[in-house]
Amino acid sequence: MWCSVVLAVMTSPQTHTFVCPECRRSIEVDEAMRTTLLETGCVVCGAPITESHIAASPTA
Amino acid sequence: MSLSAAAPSPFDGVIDGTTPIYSVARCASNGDSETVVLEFIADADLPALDEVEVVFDYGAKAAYRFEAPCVEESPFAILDRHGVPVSETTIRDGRLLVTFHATDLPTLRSVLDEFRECCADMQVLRLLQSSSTPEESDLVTVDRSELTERQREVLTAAHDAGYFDHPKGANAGEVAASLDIDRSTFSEHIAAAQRKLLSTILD
Repeated sequence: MWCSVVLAVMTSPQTHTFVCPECRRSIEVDEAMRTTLLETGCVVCGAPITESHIAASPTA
Repeated sequence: MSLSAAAPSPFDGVIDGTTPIYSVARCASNGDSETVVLEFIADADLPALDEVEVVFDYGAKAAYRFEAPCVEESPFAILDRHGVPVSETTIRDGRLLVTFHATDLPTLRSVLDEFRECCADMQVLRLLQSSSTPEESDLVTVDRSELTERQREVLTAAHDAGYFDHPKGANAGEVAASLDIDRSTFSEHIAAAQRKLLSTILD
């Protein structure tokens, strides 16, 4: 039982690939960061972002 | 985050970037505010480098140390100015990979702004956001193996039966009966399990 908890923690979170429409930087982001980017814009250049700029990354 | 291993990195002119290096550590030079001391791990067979000394030989790997001038535009100096320690630094394929933890979005933006000004080809590789702020989290690790198998069995049965609900889904006698044990035995197991769990959770 202890092992299964550790394994669950070790599992990589679902990530997304964000490509900024302005500075063209491509950044892998997790779910929480995805939400933040949609609210606040690109962390590098500040450009506003929509869902269309963030795609789900293929899981490893 | 990935930056060019060349200027304004302190590794410029020291290593060519083709050899992977990792476990980079850095400290102020003794009594000299204009200089920093850097140390890194790499293959032990690196060609002899000027001003770089081997400080520990691990066999196949070695720890190397060198001094470099403090450069205001260095990514390390930028993080210093923000009071953000470098979590991890490596060099691979000519790129300096820096990992750090920003405590809030304004700090992250400010650091990235300065990086962008100093290193135009800066790339942000990965951004992870903590799911809660440190103030909201107060984590403890509970090792369930502290509970005996019997204690876990009794605790599970009591929980499933609603013994801990309010109002109770089952009383001690009913749970004890479902386990085919005495009520006093049930109470002993529950008390022991609770004592162990609470002593872990409470300060």
